[in-house]
Amino acid sequence: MNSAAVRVARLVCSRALGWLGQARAKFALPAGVVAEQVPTKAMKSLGELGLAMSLVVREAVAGAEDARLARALLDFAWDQLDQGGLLYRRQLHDPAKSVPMEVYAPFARAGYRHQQLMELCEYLCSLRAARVRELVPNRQLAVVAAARQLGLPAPVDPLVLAERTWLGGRPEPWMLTPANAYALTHTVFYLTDFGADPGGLPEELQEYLHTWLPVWVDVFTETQAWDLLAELLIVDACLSTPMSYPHAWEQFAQAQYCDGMVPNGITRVPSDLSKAFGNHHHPTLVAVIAGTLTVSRMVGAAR
Amino acid sequence: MGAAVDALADGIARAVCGAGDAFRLSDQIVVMADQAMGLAAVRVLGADALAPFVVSGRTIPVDDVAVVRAAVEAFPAPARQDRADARVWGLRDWALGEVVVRLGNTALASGGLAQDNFGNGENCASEQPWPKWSAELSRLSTLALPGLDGPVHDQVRRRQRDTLRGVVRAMMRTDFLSAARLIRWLAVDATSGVEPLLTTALQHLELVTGPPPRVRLEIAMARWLLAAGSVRGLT
Repeated sequence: MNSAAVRVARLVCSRALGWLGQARAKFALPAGVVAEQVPTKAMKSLGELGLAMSLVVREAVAGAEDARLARALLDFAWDQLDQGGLLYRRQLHDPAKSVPMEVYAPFARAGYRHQQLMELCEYLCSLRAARVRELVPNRQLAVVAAARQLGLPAPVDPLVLAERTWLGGRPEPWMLTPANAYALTHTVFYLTDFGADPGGLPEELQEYLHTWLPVWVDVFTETQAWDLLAELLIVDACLSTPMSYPHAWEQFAQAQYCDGMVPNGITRVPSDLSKAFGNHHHPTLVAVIAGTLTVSRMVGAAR
Repeated sequence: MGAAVDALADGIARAVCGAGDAFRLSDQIVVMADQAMGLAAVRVLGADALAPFVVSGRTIPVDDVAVVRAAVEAFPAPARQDRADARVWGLRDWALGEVVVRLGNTALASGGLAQDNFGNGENCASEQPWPKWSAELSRLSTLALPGLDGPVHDQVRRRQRDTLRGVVRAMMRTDFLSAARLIRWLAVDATSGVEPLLTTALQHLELVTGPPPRVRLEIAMARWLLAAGSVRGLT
């Protein structure tokens, strides 16, 4: 176990959780807006909040106070989504879209249920239409992963999809750009269920990442691309043999603000929380996931 | 000085790629407006100033060895406090001396050359993390010749994956000189496992990055090494 990385990851995660607790109201959906008119971006942000907190709950490595905060944030987000009712109405409004189901999945796993939405998702996933979504492969994997989280059969074989992703092609490693790096990280998240099943990532892709992830972590640490770096650190925690990257964690921790916010790269951050929220809540959420999974894998390996 | 280095590197790269038999180092220097800068360029390129002779196996003409001697006298190795710098100077000057001797000449006088107190890399920190290790390795690219085998070559053989990581890191940082140098190191003993990636990386440097002369020289050496395998080289 790399105790330095674990210590730093735990601290970063706890501080990021604290900031999210303070910023909670900024996740709120606009009042008095019907489900169909809720901005997709705002709905997705609540989904990301739900995902991050569901992983804190799933891994159960947070301290008591942080665990309580994670559960409170899940409750808050679920209430914002009208306890699933908003997602249900949204899914009814546009049955061909996958976002409501994707947002619902982590809540369902954390114990929040909406029976009608669940039945609707089950029906929609059984359709031929679910097998032929015109999405890029890593987005299709996201939908498949959501279905699996809900306990539904995968509409498409994830390994077939994986072969068609950027990562699946094992490209020349210098061709990685920030855009396809995000595609790569999400491919890993969905194939491994955020580290719950490292074996979901085929052996040749494990080997590819084992060789090149150190380079990408080094490069994006140097460029201070904190959001992407945190995503790459999650990728590490999803592998069969994580490497933990204590140097990158140290740099990441130094970039984190005293109040726990993680800046979205090299940028001037407004002091007003409501202005900072839009650009910086995502890297702070990702920091919670990266910290949680790193601590969990490292502590788990030492057990 | 950069212009003189580029001019010399350009002439050498062209010679390595094709018309190596006509190459004379002295001809390259004589045409320069500032010949002192030309001698400085010889010092910067080190053993690679003689690369056309290395690839063709020709004896280095006496006039050309005289140019190297003049360069070493005019620009003696500096005393370096930094251990890594001292090691780079020592090893590069060792390589320069070896090339002169192995291609048919008497040894260069030791004055002006950095002393190789490191036993061709014996004491280098070979267990450093790969980013630092590969960055230091790139500075030693003039040693990357088949006949100059030694501890640095052993390290590259042992740390092939780390060297490849260094190539990719350098490419992503748009440090194409370091990338080409590390590819050249890997080309010395290219195995079937890495050769396809090396060939693609060389193509990328050539076609995408618009390589300046020093990068082209390293690319030319890497291509020669890949084509020649370890059959040719200094004996």
